[in-house]
Amino acid sequence: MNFRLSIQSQTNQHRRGAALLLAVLFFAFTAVFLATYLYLCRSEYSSVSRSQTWNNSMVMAEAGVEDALAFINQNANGAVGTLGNWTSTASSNGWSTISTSNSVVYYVSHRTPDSSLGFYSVYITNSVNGSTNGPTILSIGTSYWSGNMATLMAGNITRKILVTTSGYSQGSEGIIAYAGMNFNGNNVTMDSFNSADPNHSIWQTTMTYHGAAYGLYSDSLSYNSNNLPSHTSDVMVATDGSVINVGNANVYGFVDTAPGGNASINKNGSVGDLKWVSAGTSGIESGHERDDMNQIFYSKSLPNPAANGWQSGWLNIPTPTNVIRIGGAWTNNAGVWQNVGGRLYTNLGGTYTLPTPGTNAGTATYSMVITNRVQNTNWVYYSIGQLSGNIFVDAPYVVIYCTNGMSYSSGVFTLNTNADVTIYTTGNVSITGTGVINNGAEYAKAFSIYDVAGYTNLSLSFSGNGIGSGYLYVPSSATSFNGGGKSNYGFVGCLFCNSISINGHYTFHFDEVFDQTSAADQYLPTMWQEVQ
Amino acid sequence: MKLSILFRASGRRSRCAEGMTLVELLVAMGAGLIVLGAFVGVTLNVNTMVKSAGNYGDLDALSRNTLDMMSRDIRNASAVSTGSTTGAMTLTNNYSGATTITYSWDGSNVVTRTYGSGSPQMVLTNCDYLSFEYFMRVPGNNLQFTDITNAFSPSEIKLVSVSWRCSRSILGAKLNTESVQTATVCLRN
Repeated sequence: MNFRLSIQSQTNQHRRGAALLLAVLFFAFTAVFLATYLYLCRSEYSSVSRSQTWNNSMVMAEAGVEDALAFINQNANGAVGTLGNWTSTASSNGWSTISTSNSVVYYVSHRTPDSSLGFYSVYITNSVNGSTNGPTILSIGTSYWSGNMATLMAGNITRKILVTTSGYSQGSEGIIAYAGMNFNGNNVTMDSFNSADPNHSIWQTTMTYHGAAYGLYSDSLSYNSNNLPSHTSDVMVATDGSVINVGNANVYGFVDTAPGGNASINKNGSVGDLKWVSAGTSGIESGHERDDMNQIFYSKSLPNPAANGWQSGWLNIPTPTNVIRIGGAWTNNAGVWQNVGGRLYTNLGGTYTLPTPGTNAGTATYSMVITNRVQNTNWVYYSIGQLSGNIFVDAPYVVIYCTNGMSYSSGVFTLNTNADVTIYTTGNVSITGTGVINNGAEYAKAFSIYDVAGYTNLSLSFSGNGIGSGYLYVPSSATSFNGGGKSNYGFVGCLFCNSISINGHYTFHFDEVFDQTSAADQYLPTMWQEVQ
Repeated sequence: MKLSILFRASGRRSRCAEGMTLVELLVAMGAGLIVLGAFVGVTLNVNTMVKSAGNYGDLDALSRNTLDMMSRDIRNASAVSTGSTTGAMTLTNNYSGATTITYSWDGSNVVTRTYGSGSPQMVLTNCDYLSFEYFMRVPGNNLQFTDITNAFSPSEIKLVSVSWRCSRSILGAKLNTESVQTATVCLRN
């Protein structure tokens, strides 16, 4: 038998099913692969969208916090005592209220800064006690789901932020200039003391400010912390610029520049604590040079005279007639400040001859006298164009608005003991020649000058002993102290300004009370937490 | 096409029953091998691609979750109490139940989050590196923040920037990496 090997191609019709099966398997495999891959892509898309939505909701919640902070701070930077008035305009600002047994909650719902992004609702719980505890803010931010596929709809995402606030006063830590410092003087010394601490001031028993006793600065304060009462070494000489030229100054405290800045000092200059500087050590002591200056400079807004509840507008500075009582002890009797004791003075043809505060300080003639009013349970607001004539202030809680600044080249501004005055100015202040501000209280808090928001490029200049003590908050003003000659001049208090130039022999004595007890003028967050 | 081997008795063969020559057979086998090789290659690549996509999604999801959690912790924190450029950062939070939250990298693989005195919880795996940068609390000129990473000072830190990279291997090769680089996250307190 003969066998032949034959390889045969079979193309019979019934065998075509195998090709179909192969094709089906191939496409099934491809379909499974594509489905898997698309599913993974969809998951990735969903993950990205969720993350974007998650983060967008935080943006919404923080927008709500900002809205609430702006709302409760609408009177910030303004006059003393007005910070808490934000509730009075809640309704006109679009806020609704819910009253609870303990507090009132102000809220806005579904406020939409960006309609394509989401919205927020904010609740402000007003449980303020005093000026230091601020309202509490709860902001709920909702972000729209950013995915655009219906099957991936995961719903809007909501996040919540709880913020507590506290009344805050712009810290006054010494001599602070926004734009720059120029110490051309010789023997410039800057130190500090504390008028609220008997260990660091010369304590007074008869002098009071709003009924509270205080201490005075004196050169007799020791520079040895073991020998009380003593100076302190906490003055902060700071600028928002990058350079402080200390020169040959002695600074009992710190120098502070903006981040990355530095302080230059000559070989006779010294910056440090009491021991370092009083020993004449040259240079800057370790830890007394900082570069973390971060201060917001803003001028104050004008106060509203009607805020005291009885004034309808600014009062003219009076020239009293007949007899006035000067020099008594201002006493708060059942909420009304009264001048007890003192001495009576008579009008002499439109002027009064009054004693200058201090022992054997003589007298001066005044055409303007501000004395106490029955309504002096609150601030009293006066205004004048340019303040230049002799004026005697013998009342607490006095506010004077100078629309055209102050100019004294020969006159005298006298503040009696136990009185105080706050001056707002929209013009330049110049105390030169024999002009003088005589702060009889010898207490810096008793004499304050503020420049007003909206007025820039102002100037504030003092010559010689033009001003002895005070609180100068003039962020829009270039300030100069010109000593001249060989005399030594001193300034006690605190200074905020745009720039400072010192010529001559000057000593600055920072009163630490400004870093401790300044009245709150804004609410700042004290706690920020994302909550569930 | 189907090949068959037929054994038949000698005799006149029909045309349709003619066998393939050796050359035809070799060509057919060669073509078949090519098709089979292509199929295997495509299958392996598809497998790699699907695994790669899956890995990427997995790494990305883990990184996003970790980043969301870490950025929330940083925002809520009062301060960065301890930290290094690599490895670890401890946040202080005076307002929550725990006073400290620590993120720590083991140096080769795992990143953990420790809440207070609790046990470390793994938040990232396959992590090749973890890096932190720290910036001062106050801005300088043009709102540029000063980098104090190399001069760590807890009281001055306001912003934290973090970056890491995770990777996975497929068939012995590192085909997947997922890098995360945050913007600076600001401590709100």
